[in-house]
Amino acid sequence: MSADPNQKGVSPWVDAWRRLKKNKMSMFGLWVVVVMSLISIFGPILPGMPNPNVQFNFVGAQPAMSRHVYVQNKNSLTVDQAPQLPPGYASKSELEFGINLERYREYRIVVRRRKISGITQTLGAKSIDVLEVSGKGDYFVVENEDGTLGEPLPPDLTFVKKKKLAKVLGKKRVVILRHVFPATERKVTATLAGGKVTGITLDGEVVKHLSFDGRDVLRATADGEEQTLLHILGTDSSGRDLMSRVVAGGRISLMVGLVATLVSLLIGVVYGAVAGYYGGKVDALLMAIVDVLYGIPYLFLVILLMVFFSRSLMTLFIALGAVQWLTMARIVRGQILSLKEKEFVEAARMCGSSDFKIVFNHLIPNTLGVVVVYTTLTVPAVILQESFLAFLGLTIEWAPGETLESWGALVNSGVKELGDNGERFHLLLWPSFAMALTLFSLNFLGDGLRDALDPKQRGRT
Amino acid sequence: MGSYLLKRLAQVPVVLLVLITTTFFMMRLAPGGPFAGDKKMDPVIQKKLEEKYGLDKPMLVQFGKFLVGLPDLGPSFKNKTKTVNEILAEKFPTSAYLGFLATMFALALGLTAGIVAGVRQNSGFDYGSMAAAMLGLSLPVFVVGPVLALIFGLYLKWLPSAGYDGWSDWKALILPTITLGLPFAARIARLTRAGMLEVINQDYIRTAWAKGLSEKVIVLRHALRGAMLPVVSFLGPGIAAMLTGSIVVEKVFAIPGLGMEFVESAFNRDYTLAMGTVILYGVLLIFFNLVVDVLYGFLDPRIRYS
Amino acid sequence: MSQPVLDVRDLRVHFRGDDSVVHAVNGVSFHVNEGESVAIVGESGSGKSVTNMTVLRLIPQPPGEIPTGEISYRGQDLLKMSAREIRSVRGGKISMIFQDPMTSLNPFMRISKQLTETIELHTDLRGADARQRAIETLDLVGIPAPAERIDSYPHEFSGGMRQRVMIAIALSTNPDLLIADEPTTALDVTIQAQILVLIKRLQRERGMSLIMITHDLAVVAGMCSRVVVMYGGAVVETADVDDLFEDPRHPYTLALLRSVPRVDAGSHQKLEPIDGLPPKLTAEPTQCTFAPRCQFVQDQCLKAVPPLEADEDGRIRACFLKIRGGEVVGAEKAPAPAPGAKAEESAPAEVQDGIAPEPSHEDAEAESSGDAKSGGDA
Repeated sequence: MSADPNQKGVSPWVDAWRRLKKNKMSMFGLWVVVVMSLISIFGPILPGMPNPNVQFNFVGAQPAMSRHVYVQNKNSLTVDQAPQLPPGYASKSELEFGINLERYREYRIVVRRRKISGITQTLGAKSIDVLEVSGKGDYFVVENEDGTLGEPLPPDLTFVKKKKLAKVLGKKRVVILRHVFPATERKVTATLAGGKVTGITLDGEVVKHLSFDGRDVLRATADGEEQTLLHILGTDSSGRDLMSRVVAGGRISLMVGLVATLVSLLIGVVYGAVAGYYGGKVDALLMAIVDVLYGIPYLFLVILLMVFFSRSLMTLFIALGAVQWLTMARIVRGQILSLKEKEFVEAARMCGSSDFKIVFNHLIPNTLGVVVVYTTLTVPAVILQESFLAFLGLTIEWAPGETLESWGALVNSGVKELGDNGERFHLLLWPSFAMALTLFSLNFLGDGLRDALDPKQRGRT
Repeated sequence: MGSYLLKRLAQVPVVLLVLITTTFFMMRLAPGGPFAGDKKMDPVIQKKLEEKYGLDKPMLVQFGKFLVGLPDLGPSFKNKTKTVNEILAEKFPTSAYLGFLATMFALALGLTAGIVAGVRQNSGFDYGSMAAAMLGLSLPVFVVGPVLALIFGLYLKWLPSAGYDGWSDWKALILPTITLGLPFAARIARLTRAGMLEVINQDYIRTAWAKGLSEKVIVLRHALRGAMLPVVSFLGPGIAAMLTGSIVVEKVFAIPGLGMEFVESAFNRDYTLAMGTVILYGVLLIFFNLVVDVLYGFLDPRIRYS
Repeated sequence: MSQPVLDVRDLRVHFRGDDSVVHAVNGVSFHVNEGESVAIVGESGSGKSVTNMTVLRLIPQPPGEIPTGEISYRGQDLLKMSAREIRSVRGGKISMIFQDPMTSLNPFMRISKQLTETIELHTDLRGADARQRAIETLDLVGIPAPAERIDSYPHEFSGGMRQRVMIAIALSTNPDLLIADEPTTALDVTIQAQILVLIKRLQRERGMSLIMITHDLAVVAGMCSRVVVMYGGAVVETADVDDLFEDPRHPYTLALLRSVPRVDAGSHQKLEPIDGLPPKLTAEPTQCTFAPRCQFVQDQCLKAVPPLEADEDGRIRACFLKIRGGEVVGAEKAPAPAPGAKAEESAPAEVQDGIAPEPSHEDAEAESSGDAKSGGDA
């Protein structure tokens, strides 16, 4: 077929790109990968993105699209101090809360000769004859010497003056008892100025200090607006927002995938290029080493490595990179071997290029295609391996005790928390979905790249 | 073929040696020693134990003794009653059985899907099965396993979701087999399809059509041989991947096999056992790679008769 | 005159791409008689291979399409046969051998199997009998020590030997017609000669019909009694071998003959290639496809497709001009108003219609271009 003089020459990259564009699945893959990467990099900085480390223990594991009142586990308001509330409140001026607070009265009970000799209400030093648990939800609790409260006493307890001792009071002579009434909703208001609390009222009464648990807050308003927090993907058992954890996990997984792959790339390309280019004995030796190393079950060694030595990020990068470089080396070597015979290398040599130049200017750019393809396919393999390790409990340790939670670690927790009826399924679902989607996309992209860069397809759009 | 075989055989002891050396030194050099993590041990007792296990001698001597003592892998550090070899012998059959079943499953599913997809390129089946295969590759075993266990074990109650009582308890092996075999099947399907596509465009298939053979005969008798080659050469790394996968599958489905043993021994710092397991895996791997390579050479007459 | 073994009429074959259609074969008609050897000559892209692959329905139907045409084998239209019927024709009644012997045999199968499977499929021979026939056929094609070598694999044979094996496979079932698609193009010149001699001998011995597809005029001269010349997906000329070489009636044939270097021309002969490029057949032709490269081109050639017709002395060609002795000596017909329409003129014998009284007339060439890959529509 003779050449058409009017046909414009097209570089093989443009040609390959055009072919890639036609492959819809690969383009989908590419798009997903790009979006995932952007989310991973910029996600945590996005306004409105919850902090993945903040625990709302009182909320527990909630499914997707759940809301709860925007307060912390432990909150407190003290006049002339900044409010102990989640970020965002300090800049407001008028706060209102509906909180379930318990009311209580304190009594002093004196025991003499195993009989209750006196019951005095501390407030007002009023003496009473009978003290009983009056309704549903109220209970007695003993205040210890150090000020802490003991466990609630059994219900249906009555203390009657001059009657025999209830066993529960034990051997004490004087007991400070609290009669706690069921929690009812109390209205709390607070005013702030300049980030500090200026006034607090509880049911209209002015108080100087109030502390309350998040679990007891029924509503919260600031400057007239309801303060709630939406968790798009729900929360885990400690109340941590799942979506931000998945995003953070993605950062870790993708980073591990990328860096470890780059490590394997570096080693593999250089090794393979040297073997392929010099050929002969050098090649035979280098490839013999590769063959030998191929027979080793790598992941086991990596597991041993992580158990016995360290689980730092660095170890992981190197260990996983070391698993993959063999394949890369083989591929690069194969590619270079076949390219070496091609005429353009001869031509370059005849023009006087040095070995180094030939390798760098001619051979390596031509292997770039294959390298790109296998890199795209190695990243998901590495991510899978890391998640494998995380599943076995070998999560990455940033500092002793501090785990970096990749998608694998999240999935692992998800599996553990599954519950007998799969109640907390979303904890498994979302991280798995994110990981599967990313791996899926990377694989499709890699496949598409491989087809697009296949020299047999050159010219065929 | 002969020289090819010889070359491959010669590699075996080298690989083994590298493997054993690496594992040995890795374990001995690990900080802490085998008795770290045990509740505070009386130093006298510790010294006695070290003497008993020969841990007080210099590293190279230990290594030498170990090598000389092979194939006896020594006593287990944590299990006082059994030697490593005994433990391995106990656990190995279970894992082997599971692995075998998973491989058969993977081959059956993968080959069929791949052949049909390749022969009916661009059909609905092709896209569907290749997408499914891709999914199989992207979902890790430790997601698939629990999900399957949940659906079939807890919701539908068709199959047990954990545990394994022995040879007769085949039902318990169904879910683990599927979980373990799926990624393998996915890869086989893709390779078979690619191989099929490659072969179908060859001239000799055109010749077969021109001879008047039917599609079935052409696919099964003519095309398959050539298409199988990439699958066969993948079997080696495929089995390796399956061995590593079995660790997780055994953990998820509570199957008492080698994989679980390995993980436990690693976390328990039972050096000899962990090392023994790794060596066993290594030997298996080498063996399978060898078998696969020989098989490949056998299947391609161009290699067989050269 | 008896019915021709193969009669192709007005064959059109299209290939549908993503956004284009290639009109590989545009209304080709020709026939092959009993025991005759016909050469089909043309450049790459002329449609000769596609036409012949279509005879055995080896063109995959997407992307291929056959909008019109009839291919009669002893009266039965091959294009209308069921899958089972066409399979019994393939390899049994009509055999085909291909260009590259190095890749046309299954490398994973022994020669014995490749032979016996055809024999067992198309004859009543089984087992040892089939094997015996296989050995005999190998002997026939000149494979030394056939009984020992029959169990070898293809890679143990040289290129020439492999092509002989291909021929053996093709002939083992005693077909009526052998289609040979450039069987020697990939071989050394000396081997080429051997193979051609072999084919010619076998053809004569068995009274088999032969279609020889080639681009090499020397092969044509040595092997065949009739020639069909194709260009741009259509037949441009048909003639007996001697007539064609002595007195070509189409500008393309003329140019083709001129471009062949001559032994007797001396060392300073200037080579005369044909200027220009082969046509891109992305649309139904509305003019003579050779016109852009024709040295005699006139206005009428650009306005309509010249029909394939016989001129006053019965020579069949598709051209508006009268070419004698290498020059235009007049226009043969008035330009036709619509493409492909038959102009009325004094020439006898409508070519597109039925069979002419004389055997060597009337080769409406049906060319199916393109190559069968994964086989026909079985």
